[in-house]
Amino acid sequence: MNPFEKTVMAAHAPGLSLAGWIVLVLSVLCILLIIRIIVQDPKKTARPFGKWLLLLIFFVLSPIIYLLNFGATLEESKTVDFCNSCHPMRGFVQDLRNPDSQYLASEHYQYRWIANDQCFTCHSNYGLFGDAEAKLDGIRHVWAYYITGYKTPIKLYGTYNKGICLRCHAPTLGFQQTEEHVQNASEIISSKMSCLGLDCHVRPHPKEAWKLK
Amino acid sequence: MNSGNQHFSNVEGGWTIGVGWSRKVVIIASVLNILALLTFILSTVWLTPITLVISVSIGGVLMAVAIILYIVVVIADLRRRGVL
Repeated sequence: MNPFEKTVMAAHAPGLSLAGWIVLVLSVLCILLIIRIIVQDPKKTARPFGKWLLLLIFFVLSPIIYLLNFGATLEESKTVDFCNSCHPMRGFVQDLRNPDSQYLASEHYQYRWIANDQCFTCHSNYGLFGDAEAKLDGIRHVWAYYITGYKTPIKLYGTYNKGICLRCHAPTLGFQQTEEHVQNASEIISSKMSCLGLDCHVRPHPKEAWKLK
Repeated sequence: MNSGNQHFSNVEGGWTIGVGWSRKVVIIASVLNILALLTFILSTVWLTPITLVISVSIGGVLMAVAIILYIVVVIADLRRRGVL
């Protein structure tokens, strides 16, 4: 491992974020206080101090903890490791991290064309509700995984939105100066023409990625 | 008019919750809130899709119910004291 890689790893070291620590400490504190008031000293619930303390826990601390936890976990859920925590994604992430892989997603990951959260970046639409739509899709994944079951081979719910690729590539000179891009601009923009196949670009993931363990 | 038990009493023409009953409600709200906080801790320490969904949905609902129950107790307490 070269020193640069070590620096990057240190910056993205696994562990709790600051928000995570705040959630943890505040949650434990609230639980201990509630138990202390209710169980160990029941009379305190009838005293002003106990009532005000419970009021503070219920109306101020708990909602703050919820919102912090909501933000922190949603942010954390964008990481590749989070996607990899679901069994059907293991093959996709395995290929992503394979230095010898020639697939499109892997090259984006290996060369850090996308710096972080590579899965989420390519699978969330741009715009105001892009992140929310991606998270709703995530809930559909969880539902399919635990309740209804999922079909293999794993496929996208719809057609891949090429706008996601264009979000990064369209402004670059290299993209704009490529003849094929200029000739097929309207088809590419409207997602009628795929970026993959022919003599253009390779697949993002191996066809059999869902089979990899 | 009196309900005849400790759980309900009439304050200035309106029904309110008795002291014994309100204490039970506070305990229920506290237990729900503790459960909600435990789901938050779970998703913070061990983040997976399922713990995330549990903390955001079930944890959120438990916390909301706990808050509503505590509001009921606060209102009942204020009515008992004649503030409301």
